[in-house]
Amino acid sequence: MITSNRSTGRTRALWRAGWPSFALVIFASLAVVRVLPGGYDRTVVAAPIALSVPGALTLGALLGRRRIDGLAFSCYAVLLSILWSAFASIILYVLHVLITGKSIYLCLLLICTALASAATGRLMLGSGKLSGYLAGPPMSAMEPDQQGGWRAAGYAIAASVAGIVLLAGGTYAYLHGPRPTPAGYTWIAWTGPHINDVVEVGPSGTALPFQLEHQQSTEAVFRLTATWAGTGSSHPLAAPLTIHLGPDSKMNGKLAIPVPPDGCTYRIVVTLTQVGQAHQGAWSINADVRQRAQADSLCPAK
Amino acid sequence: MSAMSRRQGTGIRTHPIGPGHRLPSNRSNANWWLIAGALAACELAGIAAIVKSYEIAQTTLTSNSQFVWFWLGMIVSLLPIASLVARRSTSGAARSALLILFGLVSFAPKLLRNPTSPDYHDEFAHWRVTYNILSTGKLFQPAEIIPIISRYPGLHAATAALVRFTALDIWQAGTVLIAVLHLSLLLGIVALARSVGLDSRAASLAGIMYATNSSFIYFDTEFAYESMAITLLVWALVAFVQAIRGRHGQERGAWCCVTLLLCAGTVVTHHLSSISLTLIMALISIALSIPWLARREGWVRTACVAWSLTLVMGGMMLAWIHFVAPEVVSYLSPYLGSGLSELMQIASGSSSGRQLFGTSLSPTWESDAGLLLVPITFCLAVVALISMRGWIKEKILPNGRRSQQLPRGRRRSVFLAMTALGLVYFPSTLLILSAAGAEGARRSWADTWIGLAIGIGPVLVWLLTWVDNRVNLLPRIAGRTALSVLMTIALVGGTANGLDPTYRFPGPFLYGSDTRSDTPELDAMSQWFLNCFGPENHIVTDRYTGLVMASSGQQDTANPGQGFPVYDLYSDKPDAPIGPNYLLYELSSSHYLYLVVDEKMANNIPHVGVYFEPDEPVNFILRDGKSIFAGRLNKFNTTSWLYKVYGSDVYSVYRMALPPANVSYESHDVKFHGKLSVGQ
Repeated sequence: MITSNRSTGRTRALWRAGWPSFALVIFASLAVVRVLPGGYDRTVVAAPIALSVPGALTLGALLGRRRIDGLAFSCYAVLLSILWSAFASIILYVLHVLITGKSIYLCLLLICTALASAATGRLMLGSGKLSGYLAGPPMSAMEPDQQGGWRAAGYAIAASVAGIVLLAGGTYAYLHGPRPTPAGYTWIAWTGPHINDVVEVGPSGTALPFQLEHQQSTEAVFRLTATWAGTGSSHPLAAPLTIHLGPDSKMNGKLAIPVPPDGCTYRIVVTLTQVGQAHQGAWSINADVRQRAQADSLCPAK
Repeated sequence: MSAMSRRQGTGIRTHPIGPGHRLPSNRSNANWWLIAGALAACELAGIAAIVKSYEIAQTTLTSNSQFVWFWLGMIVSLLPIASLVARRSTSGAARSALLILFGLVSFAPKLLRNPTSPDYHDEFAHWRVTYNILSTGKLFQPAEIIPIISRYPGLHAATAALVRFTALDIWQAGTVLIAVLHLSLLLGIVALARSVGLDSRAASLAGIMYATNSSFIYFDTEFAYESMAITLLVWALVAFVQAIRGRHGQERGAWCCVTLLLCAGTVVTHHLSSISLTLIMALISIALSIPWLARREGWVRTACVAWSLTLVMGGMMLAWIHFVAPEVVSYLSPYLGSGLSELMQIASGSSSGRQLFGTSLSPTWESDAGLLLVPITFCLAVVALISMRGWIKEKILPNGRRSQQLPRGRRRSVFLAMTALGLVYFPSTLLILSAAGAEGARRSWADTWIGLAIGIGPVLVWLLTWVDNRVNLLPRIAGRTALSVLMTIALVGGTANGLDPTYRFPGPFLYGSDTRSDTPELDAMSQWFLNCFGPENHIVTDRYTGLVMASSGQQDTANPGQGFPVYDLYSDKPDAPIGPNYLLYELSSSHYLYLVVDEKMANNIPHVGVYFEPDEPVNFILRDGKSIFAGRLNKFNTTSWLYKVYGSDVYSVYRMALPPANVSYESHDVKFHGKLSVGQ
C-alpha cells in the first residue's frame, strides 16, 4: 500500500513537473499522425491535439501553477489553440512563407516549444511558492486526489459524449431519412475547343462537338435541330434527328459544317426540343462561324 | 457548508469567488438513474422531433406542423435540462455537465439544417475564402461574395489549419470548430456571470437565458466569422474580469496576457465584434472609475489596469482597420447611418417603417412570441434593477453591523456595467423598424444579451425561490408552469426574431431566397463550368446563382454596384443596345468572360427582395408585382458578342467576346448545309 502511494506520488510529481514537455511531445506527434490515412480515425487523433495542446501550453506559460476551474481551463485551451493556428497563419503570411500543412505544423511546433519552455520554467521557478497557488498543472480539476474534481470531470465527459452521440445520431437519422426526389433537368453544351470568338472554318469544313445530358427519372424523346441565321430569319442547317434519352443518360453529338459561303458570319444554333409533352421544353446553344482567311469586306451584306 | 456563503435565493454571492463546485447531494442512486433515464428519453425524443420537423419542411413551402414539431423537439430536449439546471439541489458539477449537454443539443437545429455543405449566404462566402487559403497558401486573397471577410482571416485560417491536420473537408472542419465554439460560448456566459459574482445556479440560468437570444440557435452557429468572434469576445471579457479582479501583480499580469491574446484573436476575426468588445471593455472601465461604484482599497490601480487593457484593445482594433481593413468604415457606416435616418423618418411620420415579419413564413404564434419577448425581458430587467437597488442598499444586521449584498468594489462595478450593457437591448429594438437598421440591431443583440442575461439571472433565481417557498402545491405547480411558459416564449420568440424560416428550415425551391435557391440543376451547371473552363474565371451573374458559382464553383463573380451596374445587361430592353458602353469597357478591361443567366428571374420576384444586391435599382420589381426582366433575357441569344455555350432548363452560359466587334452577318438565303450526328 505504501509502495503504491509512493508510486502514485512519484507519477504525480513527474506529471506536475513535466506536463508541458509531455504536451509538446504529443503535439510533435502530429507529424506521425499526418502519415495516417485520411478519414475519421486521423481526425479523432489529430483534432483533440490540434485543438487543445497549444492553448494548454499557453495557459501553463502564463498562469504557471495557478489553478483555474477545469471547464474554464478546457475552454481557454481550445480557444487559444484555435487562435494560435490563426496567428501562425498570419505569421507565415508576414514572413512570406506559403501556408501549407508542413509550414503551419512547424510554425505551431516552434510556438509550442517556446510556450512549453516558458511553462516548464515557471513550474521550476515557482516550485517553492505555494502561498496563493496550488501545486499541479492548471487542469486541477483532473487531479487524482480530488474526488470532486474527478467526479466533475466524469460528468463533463459523460455529458460531452452524450451530446456528441445525440448530434451524430440525429444527423445520421436525418441524412438517411425520406427525402423528396430532386427535380430533374436536361442540358446541352458545346464541348471541344472553347468557343471564344467567331469560329473560322477551313477548306475542309469543321465539326463542332456538343454534349447532351438528361437527368430525369424517365426516358424522353427529343428532336435535335440545327439552324443558321444571319441578319434575318433562321434557316435549316442540317436534317433534324430524333433521339431517345434514357433516365440519367448522356449523349455526345457533332455538328459537321462545310465552309460557310460568301465570307459572311453565320450564327448557328443547335436546339434540342422535347416531343410528346404538353409543355415542350427546348434547350439551345449557339456559335458564330465564318470562312477562314476571308476578309469581312467580301460579305455582300457589307 | 460551502466555503462561499450565499444569501438564500438571490443568486448573488457575498464572498469572492472560489472554485465553487458543490458535490452532488445525498440523492439515492435509484432516483439519480431515474432522472438520467428520463433526461435521455427527452433528449432522444427532442432530436427525433426536430428531425421529423425538417423532414416535413423539405416537402412544403411552409406548414404549421413543421413549426409545431420543431418547437416540440426543442422544448422537450432543452426545457428538462434547464429545469435540472435551475434546481437548487443540483450540484455544481452536475450543472456544468448539464450545460455542456444543453450547449451540444442546442447545436442540433443548425447542424441538421445543412449537415453536408454550406447553405446560408455568408457560409458560401466563408467557405470560399477558406478554400482560397488552402489552394493558394496565402491569406487576404480577394473574396468574391463578401469582399470584407478576406481582411478578417481568423476563422478561415483556423479552419484551414484543422483541414491540414485532420484531412477533414472544409465544411466538416468548419462544423467541428463551430460546434466547439458554440459550446464554449454558452460556458463562457456562465463563466462571465460567475466572475462578476453570480453563484453557480444564477450564472447557469444566465447562460440559459442567453441561449434564448435571437442569434444563439442559428445565426451564431453558421460557418461565419461572427460565430467565432462572439465566443472570443465573451471569453476575452471573462479574462478581462479575472485580470481586474487579480489579487497579485503576477496573477493580474497573467490574466492581462490571456485577455490580450483573446482580444487580438477577436480583432483578426471580426470587425463588429472587435468594436463591440472595445466598447464593452470601455463600459466596464468607466464603471470601475466611478467612486460610488468602485471605491475600495486599490480601486484606482484596478481602474488603471482596466483602462490600459481597453486602450490596448482599442489600439489593436484601430490599427487593424487602418493597416489591414480600411474598407470596414465604408462597409459598416451605411448600416448605422441609414438605420438612424430611417428611424428619424419614422418618428417624424414621413415613413411608415418596415413591417415586422412582413415576408416571413413564420406562423402567427411564432411572430407573436417574438413580439412578446421585448415586454417580457423588459419586465424582468425592471425587476432586476429594483433587486439591484436592494442589493446595493445598506442593511443593519441583527448584530448591529452594517452590510451590503453588493458592496462597493469591482464586483459591483462590473455587475452594473453588465446590466447597463443589457439595457442597451431595449432602445436597439427600435432599429428593427427600419430596413437598414434591422440587420444591425439583430447583430447587436448577441452582445447586449450578454449583459441582459447576467442581469436577469439572479431575478430568475429569485422567482424560482419565491415559487419554491409557496406552501401549497397548487401555487408551486402554477408558478413553475408559468416560468416554463415564459422560458418557452423567450426561446420561441428569440429564435423567431433572428432568422427567417427559409434560413431555419430546409424546404423546396424558393426563388430568391439565399438558402433555397440551390438546385441540382444549378450544381450541375456550376460543376460543368468548373470542369470545362477551370477555376477563377471572372463571371457576371445574379446573387443566387453567384453564391454557388463563387463557392463550390470556384469562380470569381462580379460585385454589382452603382459604379459597376452589371444588372443593366439584364434590364436593357431587347430592342436597345446592351450597355452602357462604359460598362462593356469595364467588363472587357477587367477580363469578365462569361455571363450566366437564370431565366427564372424573368418570371419570379425574389423572396429577399433583390436580384443582385441590396442597393440595386428599386424598379426591378414593377408596381404590378412583376419582374422587369420578363421578356428581356432572350436578347442575349441574338447579341453578336455573346455565344451561348451551355443551356439547361433555366440556366444559360454565354461567352462574352468583348469589346464588341463589327460582325457582318449573312443577309441572304444562301446554300449552307451541314450534318448532325449523335452517339454515346
